[in-house]
Amino acid sequence: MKNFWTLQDSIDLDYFCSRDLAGDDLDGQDRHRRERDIFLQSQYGKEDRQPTHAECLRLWLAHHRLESIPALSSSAPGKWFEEILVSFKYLLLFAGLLLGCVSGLSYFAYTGRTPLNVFTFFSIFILPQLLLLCVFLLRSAAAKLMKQPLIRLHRTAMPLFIRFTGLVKKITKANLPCERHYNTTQLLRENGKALFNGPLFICSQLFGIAFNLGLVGVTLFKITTTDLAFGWQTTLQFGSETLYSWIHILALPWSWMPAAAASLPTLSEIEGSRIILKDGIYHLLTENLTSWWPFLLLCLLFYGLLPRLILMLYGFFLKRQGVRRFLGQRRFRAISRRMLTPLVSTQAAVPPAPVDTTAKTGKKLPQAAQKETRQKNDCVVLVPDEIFSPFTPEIMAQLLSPSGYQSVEKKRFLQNYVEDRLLLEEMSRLQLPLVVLLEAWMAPITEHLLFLQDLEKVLPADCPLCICLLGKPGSSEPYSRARPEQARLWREKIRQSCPDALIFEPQPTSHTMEGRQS
Amino acid sequence: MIPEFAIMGHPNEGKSSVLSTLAEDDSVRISPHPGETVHCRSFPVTIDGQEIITFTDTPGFQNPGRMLAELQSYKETNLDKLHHFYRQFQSERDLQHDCELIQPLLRGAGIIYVADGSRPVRNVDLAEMEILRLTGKPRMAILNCKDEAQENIEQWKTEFRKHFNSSRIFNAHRATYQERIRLLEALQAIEQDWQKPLGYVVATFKKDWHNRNLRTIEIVCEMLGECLRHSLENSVARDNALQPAKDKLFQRYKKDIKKIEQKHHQRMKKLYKHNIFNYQLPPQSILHQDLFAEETWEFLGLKKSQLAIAGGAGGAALAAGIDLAAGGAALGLFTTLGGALGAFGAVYGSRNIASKIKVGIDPITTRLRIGPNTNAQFPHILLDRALIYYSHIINWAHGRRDYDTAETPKPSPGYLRGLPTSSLKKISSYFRHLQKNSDNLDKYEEEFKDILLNILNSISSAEDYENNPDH
Repeated sequence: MKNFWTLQDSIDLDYFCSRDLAGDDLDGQDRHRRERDIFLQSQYGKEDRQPTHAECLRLWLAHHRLESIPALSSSAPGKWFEEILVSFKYLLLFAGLLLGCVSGLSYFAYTGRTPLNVFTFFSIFILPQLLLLCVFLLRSAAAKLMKQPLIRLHRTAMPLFIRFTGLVKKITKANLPCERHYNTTQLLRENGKALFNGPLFICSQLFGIAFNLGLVGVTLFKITTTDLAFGWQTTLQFGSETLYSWIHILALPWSWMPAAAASLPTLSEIEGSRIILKDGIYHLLTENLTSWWPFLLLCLLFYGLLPRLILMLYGFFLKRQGVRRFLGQRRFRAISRRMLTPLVSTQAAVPPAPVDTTAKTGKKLPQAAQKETRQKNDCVVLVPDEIFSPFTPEIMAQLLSPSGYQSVEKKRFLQNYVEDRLLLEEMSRLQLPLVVLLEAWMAPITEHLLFLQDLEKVLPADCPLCICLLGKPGSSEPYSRARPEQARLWREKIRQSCPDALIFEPQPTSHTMEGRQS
Repeated sequence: MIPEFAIMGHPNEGKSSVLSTLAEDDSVRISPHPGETVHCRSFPVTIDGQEIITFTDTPGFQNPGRMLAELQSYKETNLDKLHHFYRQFQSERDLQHDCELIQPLLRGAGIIYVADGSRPVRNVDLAEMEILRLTGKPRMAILNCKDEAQENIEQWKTEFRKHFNSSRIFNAHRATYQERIRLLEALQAIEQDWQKPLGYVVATFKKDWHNRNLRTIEIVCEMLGECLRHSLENSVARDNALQPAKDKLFQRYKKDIKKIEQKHHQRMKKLYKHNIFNYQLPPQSILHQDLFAEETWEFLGLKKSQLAIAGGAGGAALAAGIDLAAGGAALGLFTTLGGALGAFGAVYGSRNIASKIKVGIDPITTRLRIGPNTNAQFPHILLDRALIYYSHIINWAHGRRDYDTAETPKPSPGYLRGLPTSSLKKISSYFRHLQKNSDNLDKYEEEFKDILLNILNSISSAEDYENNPDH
């Protein structure tokens, strides 16, 4: 898969992304699922290597391009923009070439009365280009120091390009097929600022290159086909030696070339080409007047053409940088992140419909009749194994006195299933009322309720079954009052299992209230 | 075979809460009444559509004593006791729940036993643990303390050591993301064969969390952008009383900003899968205060000294450009002056929300215009509130249904005041560029995002959220 992003790719990506965000109402999870699927169905999904951000986007783009093929009405605008940019480049090339040729021809419109002034050539064709280069370099350095973007060419070139785009659309009367979904102006003015910076910078360098080529071409043409004479004149009081040293400084860029010396006018040639108005031009020698053209031509090449070529290369760097910045946008980062982040789901399947147990049994909750148990009587007390020891006779008396019972024997239960079964047998021979202490702060379970049910069944008819609901033991007290909701729940459950059982709770005292408070 | 973990235990011990928190699924039915779960319900963890592990919620044990007795009565050593028990009692109504709950074990599931560590151990618990030990399955115990009582924890731990491969304390109502990950990591230790899928799940959960943090950052950036650039216009006749129109428009502006903030908070909430139940802010949270309330502006955002430093940095950066243009001839005078002015401007202009909102008549449209807000403190307040909201959201365990309202400590300062100066400067730079929508916003946004990611990571990995309730 190719890794280089063209303008077409980038614009298509922008288009599909905008369309995607505007067109559907997928929520984050659905979008994540769709994009993760694109990744998993690709070759990367089968490899261990994680693709780069750009590779992810390319994959995403390829998928959307493929998807959009059947819908011609929504074909991507990248190709269109690419073509516009190419036309824009040709236009600038042509304009530059034309301008170079026209300015060259107008400068070299030689009448033969006076030689062409070297200073004029220099100040028209070389100096402005040198100044522009210096301004550019200074601005770049300042931008770097102030942490600003290197160049903001879009501020000048972009409006031109936008007008050109509009013009092309007007002339060709071509409506972008995607126009309905895609805001091209927004692309050019906002999203694509980074994207177009490099290409437009290249365009402007192409203009400069074409201008210089035109000028060089015309200069060569005129030198070959006409008899040109170059001289120099100045009002300032400097002599030929000063000019000679300036020329040598200017010629430094090509001084390393073997024939560099031959390209420069010698001191005597400089002296011999000086135009002094009061002396006229008749005393000037032809060899002195023609000695300037190689120097001027090389100046054009080294100060006009070469910097433009170097800047054009820099434009390619800017282009890549722009693409990188463009692809680094939040919305594109989100795409690659969605592609690379595994989809995690921990949701359960739809639960089965609840079973209506009352429908099966055909029973309704029985309403147990509460019986008053205020008659003082001896009883046997079943105490859960875990709290058996703390229930001393004193505590037992304290617990049972409000109910009217008096414990004569306490027995351990809820040790294990086998022991409880044996206990049931024993209880069938009981001759006293039975009080069962239950820890109501625990959730009622079938096992305990069945035990109570069986107990009620086996107890002799004259031995009432009483159940005392206890709350959670405290650090110093073996029991407390159960919380109202816990007691309520147990009462309901007990009524279903053993409707004739009597249920009571400890009397509220200072310590038994702990359970409620906790 | 896909590893499966059955969440088992006594009724009403918080099995569903543990599962709900572990699976980040607040649709799990959690009832205050015991025995509500009567069927096993599977929660597959699927990664890219592929089921990697499954958590199964089971009904509570209803007959642990009898079950144990039956299992112990099978004397044949080669007998698969669990299968035998199931075959023998599956049609018995009283053992219906017990047969249902062992179904995942028949499929080879591992066990996560949940017990309420705030209550004492009972014989039924010992029976349940013994049953699970007899199954020979990989098993782990979790103490899910339903209240503050600590005195029984040691007793539970002692019993767990006898019956389980490992045990952990995991409060389903308070578990943070980190605790959830640690629990999953601990599960890896109970069965070597499951290390790989569980490791994959843990790695993916971490990646998923990172992804959510990144998305949170994007939401925060969008919210800040919308709030900072928001402006309103209204037509007003020049001869009308301007002040009532201004007041009205200002009220509308405040309402809009609150709406924007709320919209993005909702988006954040959705990221963390709080879908079914209404997420409630902790009762003591400062987010209950209005965005423009005095208390919000007192406790959140930056201190005056911090604002001065951040504002000074901005002023100095701008003025440094002038120094540079002067070629160093000004000996940094502009930078110093700019810094001082920036600091003064930041502090002076951030006393309250209204102090830096542009209000005026647009000369072109002759309409009354309010906004955008250039108050230096404003985005800091918004950011602090977003961070506090984030911390509430991520630490609201899915197994939780309400807050204990017993404690209502005073609100404490937000997150920004604790940041180093270098980070504050970067944050303030980002806000300035965001307000201006400058060309090189991307660069500042990247720096801001890095700082924000660090903050979110530190909030996510905070050990004890409950002890610092306002965060």
